[in-house]
Amino acid sequence: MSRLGVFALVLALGLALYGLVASVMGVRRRNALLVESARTSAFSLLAVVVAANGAMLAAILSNDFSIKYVAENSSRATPTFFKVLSLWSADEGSLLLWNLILAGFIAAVAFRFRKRRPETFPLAMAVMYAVSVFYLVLVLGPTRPFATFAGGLAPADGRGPLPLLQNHPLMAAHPPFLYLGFIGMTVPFAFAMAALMQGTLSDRWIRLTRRWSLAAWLFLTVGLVLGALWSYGVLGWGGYWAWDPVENVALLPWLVTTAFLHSVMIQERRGMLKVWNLSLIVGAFALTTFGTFLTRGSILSSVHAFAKSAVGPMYLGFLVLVLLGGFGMIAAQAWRLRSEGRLDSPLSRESAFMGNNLALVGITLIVFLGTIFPLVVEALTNRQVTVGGPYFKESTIPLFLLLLFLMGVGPLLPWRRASPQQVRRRITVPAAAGALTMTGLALSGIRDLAAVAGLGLAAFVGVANVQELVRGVRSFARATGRPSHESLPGAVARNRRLYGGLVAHVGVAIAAVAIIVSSAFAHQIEVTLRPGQRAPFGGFVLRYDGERVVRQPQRTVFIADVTVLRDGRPVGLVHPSLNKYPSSVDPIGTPSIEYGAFRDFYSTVLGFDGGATFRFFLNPGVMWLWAGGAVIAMGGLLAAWPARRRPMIVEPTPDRRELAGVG
Amino acid sequence: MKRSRVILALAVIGASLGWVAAKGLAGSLVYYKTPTEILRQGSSAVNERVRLGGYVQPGSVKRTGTTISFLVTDGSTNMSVLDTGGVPALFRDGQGVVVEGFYGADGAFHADTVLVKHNGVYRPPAPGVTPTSADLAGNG
Amino acid sequence: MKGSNESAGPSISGEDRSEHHPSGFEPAGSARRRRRSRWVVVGAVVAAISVLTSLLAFGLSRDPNLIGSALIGRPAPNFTLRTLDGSGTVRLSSFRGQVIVLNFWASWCADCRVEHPALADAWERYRDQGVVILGIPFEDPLPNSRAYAREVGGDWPLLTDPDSKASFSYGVYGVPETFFIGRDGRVAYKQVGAVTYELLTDQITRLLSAGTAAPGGTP
Repeated sequence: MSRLGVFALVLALGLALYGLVASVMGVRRRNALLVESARTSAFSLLAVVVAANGAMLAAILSNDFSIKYVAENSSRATPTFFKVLSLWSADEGSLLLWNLILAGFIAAVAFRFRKRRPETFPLAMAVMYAVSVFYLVLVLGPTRPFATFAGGLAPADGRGPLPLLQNHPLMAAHPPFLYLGFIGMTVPFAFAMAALMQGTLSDRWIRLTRRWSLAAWLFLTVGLVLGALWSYGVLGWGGYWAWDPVENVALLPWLVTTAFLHSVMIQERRGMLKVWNLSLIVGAFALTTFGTFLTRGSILSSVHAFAKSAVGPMYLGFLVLVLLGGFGMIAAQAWRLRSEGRLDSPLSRESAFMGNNLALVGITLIVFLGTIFPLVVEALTNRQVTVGGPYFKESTIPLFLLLLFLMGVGPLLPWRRASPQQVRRRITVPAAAGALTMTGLALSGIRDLAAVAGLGLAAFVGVANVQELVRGVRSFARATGRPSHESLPGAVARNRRLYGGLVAHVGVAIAAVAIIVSSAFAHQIEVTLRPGQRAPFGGFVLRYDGERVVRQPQRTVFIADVTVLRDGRPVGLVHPSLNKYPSSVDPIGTPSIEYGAFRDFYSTVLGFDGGATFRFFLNPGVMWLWAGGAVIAMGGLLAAWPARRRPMIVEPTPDRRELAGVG
Repeated sequence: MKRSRVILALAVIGASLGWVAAKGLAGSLVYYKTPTEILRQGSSAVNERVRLGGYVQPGSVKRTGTTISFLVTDGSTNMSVLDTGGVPALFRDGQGVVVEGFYGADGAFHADTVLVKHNGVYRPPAPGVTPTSADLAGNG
Repeated sequence: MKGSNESAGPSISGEDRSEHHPSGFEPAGSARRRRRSRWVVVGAVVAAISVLTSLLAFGLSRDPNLIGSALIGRPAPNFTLRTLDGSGTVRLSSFRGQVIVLNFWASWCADCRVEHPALADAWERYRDQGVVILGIPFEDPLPNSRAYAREVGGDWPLLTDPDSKASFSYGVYGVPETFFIGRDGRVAYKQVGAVTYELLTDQITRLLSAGTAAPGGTP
């Protein structure tokens, strides 16, 4: 298996190198045949990378402990489901998956542009092949997933995955989605770089990759929400976001991509912000590289050591190459990328989008600074510090509030210039809803200023975006003469991007409410109870009934049974547990969560020491975070979904050049 | 004219961002110190929020109500720690810990957060996976 | 309606967006100013990238392990552990006056297998010169540890550490990790990762000679 895997990876490296060289040569020599062969080798590349992943999977499933990775990340007792997850539960294996997804994206691009090829296509392929070469070298050189024990010293059994990673099935979905998002950014980056290299001044690259960047953003969004869900359901500290460096570096590219999705519209409509958009896309791609560098190069994580191989310097080199190449190309071409339009009025959708960009990039900078600041301090003073969660919260709250405000205002404003009357007419209802919410909250005695402002703005955003949705459908109904309720699909199909955006905004409003409510109004207690003892909490009484031990093949579970009483009558049972895995002394807790529409009852057991020590949380509104995330994803999906027909628009004749492929 | 106004606006935005960040950082930087360092620093260490690192002195852990007291040692200096924030599941004698809180005028360290240093493997977490917050799992 | 794919062409907003030609319809002064500000931008970008790079390079060069080496120079924490074959117990302090190599390992650990021959060679060479090697399994189920010991051999004392008390007191993060303890009972050196024969001989000879020079050790 090991030989097969290594062979497949070597073959893959050869194919990626071939694709890179053939693409570049094809462009230089204007040889369409070479370009075509570079295009089709994407499919072979995908096939061999699939084979490499398949070899690893087969080795894991067949308990082939002669491969070090299998011995350290799987064991005979590991259930099959978690064995499959072992494929990406540690560094080496996850790089295999990374390569698989990258090859998948390259093949998808090669397939998508099989007939009509924009002139940037060959160079974009070259850029993607170059990225692929880097990641293939990583799995062939410094991290070797297929490394075996020398001299037949294979152990009889493996260690099993890290307990934390085999404790929850969400591990199946969360990393792959994040990877899809991270790696998906390669496509717009590649087309942007190709446009820069070719000196193409049009913004074709934006329209070509619009749906690709939207898809990457969508995956990243889902990955982040699933990550929060995993953190909430597994780590047992009662929250879902800890401003941990690893979380932050996944958030950073999301912020930049969100900014990009908005600001490209200004370029498409008005021909402005060309350099800015290029910078955002290079920045987003560089941040995904930075994120993997930080987590894999073990810069900030405290659990580290052996990764201090060549991986860190190689990532750093790649990052520098991306930054210098990307921003260098932009700087070289910037003088040619003059703005064609001008901001007509501060009261326009353009200016709302620009504000949104400034806020998002501002948040990015603040989070970035906080994440790397411990390094700065240590470099300058040789002292170790940590940056606490309050920094991230307090310094980003004003910007997040501004963002919410703009999210409500933006859709109300027309492009170019809005007349004050128009604005007044459209803003009345949403603004009233926001003001009413704030007044109501203030009157009910809530003194948390940021929470009151945030909830009011969320109401404003929700109402404003729903109002625009309704208004759009109504005017479509008027234009077609059909009743409103029948025209929803038609109206949406006509402008998926607009309606997708509105839906996503509603989702953000829902998620914002959930975040504010859950962080401002949560309760928690910690108690140690002996069997039979009771403790009051948040209107309930909790009775510890006793400890149960359940032995499973791969672990032993210590369960604490707790009855929740209200007015003396039992209303529910919770059973948080500690799981003991043979490969680890540290027990891993599994929280017991009673999900509710308005609040979750979250309980963890910290230890059994005579009695049992619990931590109980009442977390209001957390459910709405997942709901909001789902709505955001729906909006993104709506905007990204390929339109089959575009009724009522005269199809422009396709550009001749793109049919000709190269040259 | 127009250009200079744009630059001015950007400068104002940049400066305010920088101010917000600097203010936030100043308030939430937490230094890492050992018991020896804190004692050497003397009275200037009182009430400053720090992370104290060391090992739990075996046999020193006592629980009274919701407060847990124990000694943290770096091998040469012991410091008594009063913790009111609860301890993680894997807290025990001999364990390497990092506690967050402040050194009081009473000579004891008042902690509200106890982080346990653990994890048995030399392998970094996969991106997006956050075992590092498992180290923080106890801090609620 | 708005450019949903590449065939939409430039019709998007109904504006004519022919490519811009940088032929000079601007005054020369403005062009010069533009060129100068371009260099400012390029300089700023390069500076930012190099600052970030050197910062990250610094990050690579350092050890983020917070309390990793707190034990160096300090008395080695004592322990009493059962041997792996169940024949008895071993107390660390009973080796006072000898050089002790404390090796933490596990059956699932790849590098432990790599370093095993080096430990075996060092054991053969130094076992009669006042040097003892102690092997302690880390986070390893007992049957697996025993199977590993049978498989790879090695006749220095192998112990058990069922509740990981010993590895905690040494702050072991992962395996292999090896501590070198001098004749004075203090931890002299800690190796993270596999040891080599050269490293073992270097450390052991250093500690053997240091031990005879310093009067601290009592047998």
